[in-house]
Amino acid sequence: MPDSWKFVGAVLTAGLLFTSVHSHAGDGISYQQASLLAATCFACHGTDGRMAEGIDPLAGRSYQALRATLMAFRDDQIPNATVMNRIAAGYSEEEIDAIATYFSGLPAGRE
Amino acid sequence: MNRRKLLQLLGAGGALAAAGPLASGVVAARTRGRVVVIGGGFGGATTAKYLKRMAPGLQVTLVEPASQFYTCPFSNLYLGGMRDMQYIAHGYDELRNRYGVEVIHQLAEDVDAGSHSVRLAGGEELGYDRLVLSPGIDIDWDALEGYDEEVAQDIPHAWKAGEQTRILRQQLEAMEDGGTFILTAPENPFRCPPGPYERVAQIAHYFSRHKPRSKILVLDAKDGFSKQGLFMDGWNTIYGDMIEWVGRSDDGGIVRVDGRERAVETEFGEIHHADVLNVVPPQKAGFIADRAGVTDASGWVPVKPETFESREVDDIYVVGDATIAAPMPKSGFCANAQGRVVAAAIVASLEDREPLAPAWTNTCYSVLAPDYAVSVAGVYRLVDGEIAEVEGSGGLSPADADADFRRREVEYAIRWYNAIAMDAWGTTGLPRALS
Ligand SMILES: Cc1cc2nc3c(=O)[nH]c(=O)nc-3n(C[C@H](O)[C@H](O)[C@H](O)COP(=O)(O)OP(=O)(O)OC[C@H]3O[C@@H](n4cnc5c(N)ncnc54)[C@H](O)[C@@H]3O)c2cc1C
Ligand code: HEC
Repeated sequence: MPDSWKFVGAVLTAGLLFTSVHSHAGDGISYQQASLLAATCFACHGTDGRMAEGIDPLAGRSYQALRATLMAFRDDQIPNATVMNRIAAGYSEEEIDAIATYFSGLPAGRE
Repeated sequence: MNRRKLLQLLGAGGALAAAGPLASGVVAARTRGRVVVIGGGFGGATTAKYLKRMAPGLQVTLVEPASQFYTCPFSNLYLGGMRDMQYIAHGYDELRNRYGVEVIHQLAEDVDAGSHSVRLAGGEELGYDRLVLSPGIDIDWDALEGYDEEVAQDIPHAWKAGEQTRILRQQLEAMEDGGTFILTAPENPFRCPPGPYERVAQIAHYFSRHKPRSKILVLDAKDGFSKQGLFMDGWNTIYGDMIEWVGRSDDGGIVRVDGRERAVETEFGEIHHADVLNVVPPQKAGFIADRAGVTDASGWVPVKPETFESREVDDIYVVGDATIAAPMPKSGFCANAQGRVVAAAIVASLEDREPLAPAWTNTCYSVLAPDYAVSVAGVYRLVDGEIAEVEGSGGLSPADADADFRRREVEYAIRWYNAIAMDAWGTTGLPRALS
C-alpha cells in the first residue's frame, strides 16, 4: 500500500473515531472546535502533536491515557511537572476530554 | 470507495499532506478567495500555513521582504554563545512547496482598504478578499532624543534579530575585560516583556567565561518587570553581583542617547557612559498597519478579540506584536497562537459561518544559563467579549525550584523552539538527523 493511501485511511479513521467517542462524551464540543483547542498544544508538542524534536508527541496515544494524564496535570498530581500543571489548569474537563479524543484519533508518527 | 474518490473527498491530492487536525474538511476544500498575508514572522507564517491547511482551495499570498527570517527567540542565546546565528534562521520552502502558499519577497508599501488592494515596493498591486497584517514592531524613532537609525548602527537595539544582533555581539567580543555593558529597557508595552532580562543574563554568561571583571547595568523605565523575582534570584545565584538593575524610581528612565559618547542621560540628568550600549527603544506597530488605517493613537492596533479583525477596517485581520491583545504579551508564542485562530476566523467568514470560540496559550521561556531557565505561562479565553486569563491557570515557574527543575526548563525551552519554528516555517533551524 502506498504511504499516502495509508495516510488517507488513518485520517478517515481519525474522523470516525472522533465522532463515535465524541458523541459518547456528550459535551457539545464540535470536531472543529476540538481541533482549535488541540492546536494550542502544537507550539510545544509539534504540529498535530507529532514531532521528534518537540516535547513528547501526543498524536496516536490512547484516549484513556491522555485524558487521565491531562486531568492529573490539571489537579497538580504529577510530581516534577515544570509547566503542564500550569497549562492544564486552564482547560475544563470537557475541553480535556475533547482534546484527548482528538489526539487519540490522529495517526502516530514523526514529522 | 476507491482511492480516487477518497482523495476527492479530502479535497484534492495536492492538499492531502496538508489535511490534519485543523483541516475543516470537504466544505473548506471548496472555499475560494484570495488572502494576502503581510509579514512572514511568527504570526504571518503561521496564519498562511493554517489557512491552506483549513481551506486548500484558498489562494494565499505571503509578502515578506527577507528570504531568511531570523527569530528574536534564541537571539539572546546567540549573544551568550549558546547558539549560532545560522540556527535561528528559517526560510519559506515548506510554505511554498508543501502548502502551496505563494511567497513574494518584497516589502508591502501601502494598503488601500477601499479597493481591497496592497501595493508592493516594486509597484505591483495585489487584490485581496481578506488581508492579514503581521508586521511585528517598528522602532518609534521619534520617541527618544538622540536615537535614530544611523545611531543604531553603533548603539544597536537588536530588537529585530539579524544584522542588529550581530553588531551587538561583535561589540561584546571587542570589549576589554572590566568594561561596562549598559542595557536600557523601555516602558510597557513592548515586544517580549522578559526579553531584556534574559538578554543581560546571557551576556553575563558570556562575560563570566571570557571577561569576568566586566559589569552589567540595566537602566529601566519601569519599576518592575516580567518574572522579576525569578530573574533577580537567577542573576544572583549564577552571576553574583555582575548585574545591577536600576528601576524608574531610582532614576533608571533615560531621556536621551548620546551617540558620539556612547552614553545615555537619565530623567534626573545623570550621564552613564558605556563600553557597549544596547538601547531597547520605545516601539509601535509596523508601519504598514498605519498605512492600512488600523492603528489608534497609541501606535498599536485595536482588534475584535474574537477574530482579531481590525476594529476600524473590515476584512483586515491583525496578528502578533502589532495588536493590542493584553493580557496576552507580545510574544512569538502568542503570535503563533493568534495566527491559527485568525486563520480559522477567516475561513469561517468566507464560508459565512460563525467563528469558533478562540483559545490561546502562551509560554515564555527565559534561558539564563545553559542549565538554568524559568518560564511564565498563560491560558486565555474570551470572557464577556474580552480576552482574559483563565483563573487559576498559568503563572511562573516556582520560586523554590531545585537545580534539576531549572535545568529541565532549558531542555524544554529548546524543544519548544524546535516545535514552534517547525510549526511556523517547517524547519527547526538546526540540521536534522536523517531518520
Ligand atoms: C530579544 C528577544 C527575545 C525574544 N524571545 C522570545 C521568546 O523566547 N519567546 C517568544 O514567544 N517570543 C520571544 N520574543 C518575541 C517575538 O520575537 C515576537 O513576539 C514575535 O516575533 C512577534 O511575531 P510577529 O509576527 O508579530 O512579528 P515578527 O515575527 O517580527 O514578524 C514580522 C515580519 O513582518 C515583516 N514585515 C514588516 N513590515 C512589512 C511590510 N510592510 N511588508 C512585508 N513584510 C513586512 C518583517 O520583515 C518580519 O519578517 C523575543 C523578542 C526579542 C526581541
Ligand atoms: C509550553 C509548552 C507546552 C504546551 C503549550 C503544552 N505542553 Fe504538554 N508538556 C510540556 C512539558 C514541558 C511536558 C513535560 C512535563 C512538564 O515538565 O510539565 C509536557 C507533557 C505533556 C504530557 C505528558 C507526556 C508524557 O509522555 O508523559 C501530555 C499528555 C501533554 N503534555 C499534553 C499536552 C496538551 C494536550 C497540551 C495542550 C492543551 C499541551 N500538552 C500543551 C510542555 C507543553
